[in-house]
Amino acid sequence: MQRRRMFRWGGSALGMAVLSACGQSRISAATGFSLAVAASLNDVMRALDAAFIQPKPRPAAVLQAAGSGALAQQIVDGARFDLFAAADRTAMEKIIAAKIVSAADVVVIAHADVVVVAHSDSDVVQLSDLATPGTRVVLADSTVPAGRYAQTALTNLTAIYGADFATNVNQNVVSLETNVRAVLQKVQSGEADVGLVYTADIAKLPDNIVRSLVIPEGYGVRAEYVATVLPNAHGDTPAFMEFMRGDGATTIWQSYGFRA
Amino acid sequence: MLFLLVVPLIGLSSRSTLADLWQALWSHELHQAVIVTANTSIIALGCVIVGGTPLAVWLTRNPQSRWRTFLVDLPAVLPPAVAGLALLTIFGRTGWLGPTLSTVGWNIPFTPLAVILAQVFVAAPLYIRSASAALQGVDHDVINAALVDGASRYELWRFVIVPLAMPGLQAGAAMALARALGEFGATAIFAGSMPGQTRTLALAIYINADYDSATAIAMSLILLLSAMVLLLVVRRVDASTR
Repeated sequence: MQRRRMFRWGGSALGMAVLSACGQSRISAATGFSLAVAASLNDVMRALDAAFIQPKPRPAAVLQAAGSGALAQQIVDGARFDLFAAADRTAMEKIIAAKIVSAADVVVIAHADVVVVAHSDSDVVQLSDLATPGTRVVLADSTVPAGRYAQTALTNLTAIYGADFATNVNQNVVSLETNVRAVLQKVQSGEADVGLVYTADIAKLPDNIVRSLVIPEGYGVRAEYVATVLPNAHGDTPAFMEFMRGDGATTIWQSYGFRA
Repeated sequence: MLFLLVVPLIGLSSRSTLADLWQALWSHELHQAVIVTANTSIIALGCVIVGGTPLAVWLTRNPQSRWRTFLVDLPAVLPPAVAGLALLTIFGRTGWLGPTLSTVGWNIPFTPLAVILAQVFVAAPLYIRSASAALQGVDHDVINAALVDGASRYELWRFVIVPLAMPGLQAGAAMALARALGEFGATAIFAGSMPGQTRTLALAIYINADYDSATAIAMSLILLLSAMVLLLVVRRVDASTR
């Protein structure tokens, strides 16, 4: 009986410790940033965070990379981050509507082009092959930015490949993924032949796995990445934001396939 | 703890207005997801019962063999994402069997068959475990009595063992169906997410949760309701054996 009671107390003490640890996970000074970033920003954000050492060194940031919409919903639901970077403004509007930030707080941080990516073993060698029956196309769902951009790109391409192009490609779609990295993963693994992703997603990929098909100038879609500092952020977050948008970060953005 | 377990379920039903939920219940997207989920998980359950019962019998034959139980239980405790990757390494285009299967025109990933395979993979252990316990629980005296009375092998199973083990078989089937209905991780990786093809309720909830909450909540309530019904089946079966 005695032991049992002790066990019970021990259990709840542990519970309290865990709870209070959760509550205090955002102490100032020597902690790193906690960043909510669009799936395609994952790698570049890690690099930017590593390059940003002013005003003082801090541990590496904790990144939550997911679909922009899912992250926006998490923030509205009370998830706490220092900074939110989304792949388009639609996701941002959700947290503006929830009065967490104002529209004036949202700034453009980078651009990336939508690109068609094909598995190197597939028969897809030119854009028109997307519409060939039997081609396994994977896109992002239109609830996430990459999906919306992909549909815009397909619509633009009807000007070159004919009015049915977008419809035909959509008929070849075998999966609508929840984020752009899942699209790439399906192509990379060879399960899908071809998908639409951002230049940034494939910048660091070896050529022998996938090949990219560039959408001709004038028909492409340029994704606009926007970010905002969230309320009660880490004291250094505004400086980090400045750094991301400054000249010092340009080469980092470019090496990851973005346009700064 | 009880609070943590119960309150989110109540919260789920209060998050959206009734009018929104009602509208969401009639959306095409929800119907598609319900149909995909119902079709795949019922077929999966069929496969689990047909394939799982002999395996359960095999397990019963030698209850001391721990490695058999271990192997059968493994998929149940495997993280679903791992299950999805594992299935890809076998049935994927570049997997062990993928190329062979595609020469006969079977491309499994991104098809409802992939959803069913994922469901069978994660749900079968629940049925097998329950079924083998139930079969083991059948009194040997009753079996011997039936044999003394001249029952054939078929009659022994048909009229003695299966009826006596039925509550356990039913409970196992209900648990397996519940697991199949909610399958997410393995499906997302192995089967993709195509409305009307492979987008089950669980996947549709995930996609809609960050976009159109009423739809996601209506879908969640459907899954919650079916889980409750299945749990009641298990409870009722439990009670009837007491």
